[in-house]
Amino acid sequence: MREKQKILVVDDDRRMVKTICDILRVKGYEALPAYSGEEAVEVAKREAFDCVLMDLKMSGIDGVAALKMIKDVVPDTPVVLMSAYATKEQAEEAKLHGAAMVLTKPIDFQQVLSFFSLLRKAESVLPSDGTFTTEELEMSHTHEHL
Amino acid sequence: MNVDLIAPPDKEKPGSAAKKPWFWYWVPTAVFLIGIFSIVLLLWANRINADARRDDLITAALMDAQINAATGHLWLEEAVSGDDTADQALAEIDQAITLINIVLNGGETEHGLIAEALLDPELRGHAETLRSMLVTFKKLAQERLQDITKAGIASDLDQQFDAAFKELLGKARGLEEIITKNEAEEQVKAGRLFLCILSAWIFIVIATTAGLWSREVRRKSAEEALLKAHAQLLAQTAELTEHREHLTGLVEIRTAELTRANELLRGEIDERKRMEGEVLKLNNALELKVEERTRQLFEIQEELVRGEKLAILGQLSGSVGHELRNPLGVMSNAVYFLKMVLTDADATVREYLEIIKKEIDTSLQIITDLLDFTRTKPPQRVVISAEEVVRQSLERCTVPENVAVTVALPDGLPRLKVDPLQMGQILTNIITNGVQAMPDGGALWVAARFVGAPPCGCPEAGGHEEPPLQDFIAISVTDTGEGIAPENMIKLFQPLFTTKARGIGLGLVVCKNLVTANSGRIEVESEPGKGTTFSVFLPIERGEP
Repeated sequence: MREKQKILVVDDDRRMVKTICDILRVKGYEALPAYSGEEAVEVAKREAFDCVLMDLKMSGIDGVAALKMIKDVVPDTPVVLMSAYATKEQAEEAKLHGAAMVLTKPIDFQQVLSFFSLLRKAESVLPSDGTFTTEELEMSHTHEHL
Repeated sequence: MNVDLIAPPDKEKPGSAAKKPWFWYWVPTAVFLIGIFSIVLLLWANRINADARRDDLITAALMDAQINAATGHLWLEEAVSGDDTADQALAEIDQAITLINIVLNGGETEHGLIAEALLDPELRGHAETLRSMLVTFKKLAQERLQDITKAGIASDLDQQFDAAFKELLGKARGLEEIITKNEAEEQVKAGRLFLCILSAWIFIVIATTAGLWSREVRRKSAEEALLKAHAQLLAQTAELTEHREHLTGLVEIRTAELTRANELLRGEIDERKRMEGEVLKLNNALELKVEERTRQLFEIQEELVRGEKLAILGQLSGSVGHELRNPLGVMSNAVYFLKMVLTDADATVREYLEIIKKEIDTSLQIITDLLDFTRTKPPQRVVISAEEVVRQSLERCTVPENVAVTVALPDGLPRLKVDPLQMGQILTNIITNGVQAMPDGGALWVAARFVGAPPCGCPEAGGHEEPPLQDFIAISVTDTGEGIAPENMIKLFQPLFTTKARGIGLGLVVCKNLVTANSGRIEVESEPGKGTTFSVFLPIERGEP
């Protein structure tokens, strides 16, 4: 097990990428930025990540297309999608293509961090499809607060 | 009409001098004139009479004087003859002279008094001649007598004496004749005068009579004319009276006609007024209707404008929501980061970070309301207790310290079958509204009660669809805030209506949509200045799996 979990943060909004990366770094993660779907795929090809946190709607290839390509390259890497305004259909489609979670912007860091800690704990025993339901995450999140 | 009747002529008008009969004036006048004439006549007669008498007396005196002279002559003859009659003769002559003097100067004779002296110059001349002749005669007589006494009577003297005597007598007779002639002339004159006076008197009488007769005739003709005129006048008066009566009748008829016309007119006026009143009433009603329609049109227009706004809102909300959520996400991340790294920051910095976080949350809530409004997600209903729903909702809300929250949930309430997330959204919204209605603090009650199936047609503020006949649990949120103005009550669930300074007026619309989507309904009661109660009626579980 590595010291730090390695997260790829993908968004065409540079400030969004920066803030998320900074928070994750402070929280003890190794965060790498990417500013487009293409770049994310390239980076994913070169390096291994514990998780990819990626915007759903981007210029160029969008989140779902990038998800598919990343999954083609590294099928075991969990990909969490972020959306400012995700429809249920989009979320369904994303999950169908292997997204671990679809978050609504602004993202709830407690939820994200919970997910990452779940990943760390379940590194060796990932669910067969590599996804978690929102309810599972919310439950864990709720439990944290309770 | 007023016609003065002319009084008949025999009727004396009161106040005017009494009309005297004609003879009232004429008889005294005639009597007076006749009297005057009579007196004049009598005076004339008297005068003539006096003259005649005087003349008679003078004549008589003259005759006496002749007689005396003659007697004296005789006596003288006698004396001459030798008788002693001389004195007697002279006495007779003196008597004759006396008589002549009386004739001349007036005086008492044996026949009567001669009142006045003889004035007629001719007669007086004659008389004076006669007197001087008598005096001469006397002187002759005396001389003769002396002669007699002297002796013998001279024949000359005798002749002279006789001649004188003869002359005297002649003179006396001449005078007498003159007088007699005068008297006759006087008498003729008197007769003529009398005749004149008589004829004048007759003329006057005749003239008077004729005048009176003619006056009478004229009077009669005038009276006849007057009577005729009066008769005409009466006839005219009668005609006039008749005419007046006719006119009066006409006037009455016209008056009656006018009165009738007037009444008709009045009736018409009343009718017109009534009609006007009705028209006015109709007009007012029409105006009210127009106002009502205008109001409805305005409402429809408002509705259309709102619909338009909502359509634009629907188009915009997706992209705008998306676009805003990104920067808000960045801001939210930044705040999270700062709170994370500034663990030892002072209270003010932490307070300000908290303010930024709250404002971001508020903005996100607005965006969420917008997105929820444009797209209500189908509820994913599960069985859950009211207590759980209330608890979760309250946890999500930030209630300030000056608001005391009381939760009154009776035991043994049936469980609900609703979408818990949507329920949380609804109650959070309502509780937040309640808290915001009490900026200076207050009390907030959250209660739940069982409500049996309502009779149909119950009043409900939410949803136009008739809710199914089933049992509900009403979760009510009561605040002690400022309340809702009555005019705002109907707009409460209209999109884009808000009384908040910040807010787009979608919260309660979303609540209502979500409640309706969960087969419930929402009601509101409010008293301005006292507070508001929102009640959410939610369906209970009916034993379905």
